[in-house]
Amino acid sequence: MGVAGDTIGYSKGSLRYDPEGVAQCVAFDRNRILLDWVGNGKRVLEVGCSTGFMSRLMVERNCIVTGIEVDAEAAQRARRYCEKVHVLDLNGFDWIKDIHENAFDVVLLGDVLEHLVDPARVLDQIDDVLSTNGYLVISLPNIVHWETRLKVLMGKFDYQAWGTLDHTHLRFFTLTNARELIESAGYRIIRFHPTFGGRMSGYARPVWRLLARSMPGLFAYQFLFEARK
Amino acid sequence: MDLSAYNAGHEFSYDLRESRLRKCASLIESLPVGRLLDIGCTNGNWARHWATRGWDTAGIDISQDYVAAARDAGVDARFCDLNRDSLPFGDTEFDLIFAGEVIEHLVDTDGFLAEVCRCCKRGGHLIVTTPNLASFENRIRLLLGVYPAWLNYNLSGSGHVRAYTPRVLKRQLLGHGFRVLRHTGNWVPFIPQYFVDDLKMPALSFTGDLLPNLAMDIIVLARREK
Repeated sequence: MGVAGDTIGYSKGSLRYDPEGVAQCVAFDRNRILLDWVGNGKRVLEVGCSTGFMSRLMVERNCIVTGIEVDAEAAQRARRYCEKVHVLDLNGFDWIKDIHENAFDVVLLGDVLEHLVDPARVLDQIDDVLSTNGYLVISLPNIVHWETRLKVLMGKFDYQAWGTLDHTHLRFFTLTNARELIESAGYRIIRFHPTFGGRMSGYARPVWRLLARSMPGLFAYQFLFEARK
Repeated sequence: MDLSAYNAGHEFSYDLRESRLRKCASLIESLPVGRLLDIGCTNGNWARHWATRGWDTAGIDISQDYVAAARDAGVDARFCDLNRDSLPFGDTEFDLIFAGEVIEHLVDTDGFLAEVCRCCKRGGHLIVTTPNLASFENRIRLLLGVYPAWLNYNLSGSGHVRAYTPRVLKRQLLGHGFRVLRHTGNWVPFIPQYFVDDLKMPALSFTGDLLPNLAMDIIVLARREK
């Protein structure tokens, strides 16, 4: 069900997010910054860990990682790096009850909230497993990135296998309502970073970085947030 | 609250005078009378309207209250949560399936269309209406970086979880064996809907036929081929 780019499927195939499968992902500075913000030697809950490609990098930084993943096959691969991986659907009502560990230093939600029916509720539930000084590291795609603006102007909002218009995305965010979502769940935003697109590397990188910083709504490909209660 | 509870509690009202339903009515009138399923039948007004014109009607809804109201009104209404259940009908039971403003509330839209296809006769028809993400108003909004109308970033407001453009809907219908015979729109929001809509200004209705890709709502009539 749900051939990418053909029909809109509720495919749970998280395998496609593994950079070995979609090399494009690694071109963004997203991963580097998320890892910096997570830090070294932390107890991390990685929500939507896919095959564990981020977990591996965090374990290399002496973190202990627990994963949550909806796709059992991807979860099995993530077990290579994670201390434990829970196969759970965050759209289920009481998923948090299955997480027996608590007091995580960091909860990483890297491009996860846009797949959820009720992202505000999930953010609220996560507070139960955060330690007193724990924090969230969140990444969300920008729906009003200049490329999407031009596409929709031409009438094209075509779902695809990955990216801003991933066919399993239920939610779309601008900077304003990304902030609203996080703050409405009772968190304070401590840090913000706009990432820029992947194809524009090389000489033009500093220019794109400057544009993303000065006009994140237009030039940020993703919004990264660090938030605390 | 989960999506099912949200949808069940959400009051959905429609007005038979809105251009979306008037255009759907003329599409239905062009078809031979038979058995009709109204998906999301609410209080049963729409199904009853067609029953008086000779159609053998049935309806489903996610709200028990609406199902009871529709039954009181004499419609064969049944409870069904499309995010969880299959359609409570047999294979190839219907000549026409009407899904007005429903698909944008569903997570597994492929599963839904597979069910619709199962219950629709070969050569039978399907009418789908859903908000157009690429309406004129939304194109301008997105260009200016403003969040599009009828899209929700959390479980609130209209409770929509899916956004369609005519291209995407047509392609998905084709993938499920439905060939689109007719695509039209309700009206083009050259002026934002907040100020003017097709109820305040019924004359706007022709703009939807003229420029369906820019209309507020997508209206398609499709036929089950496979």
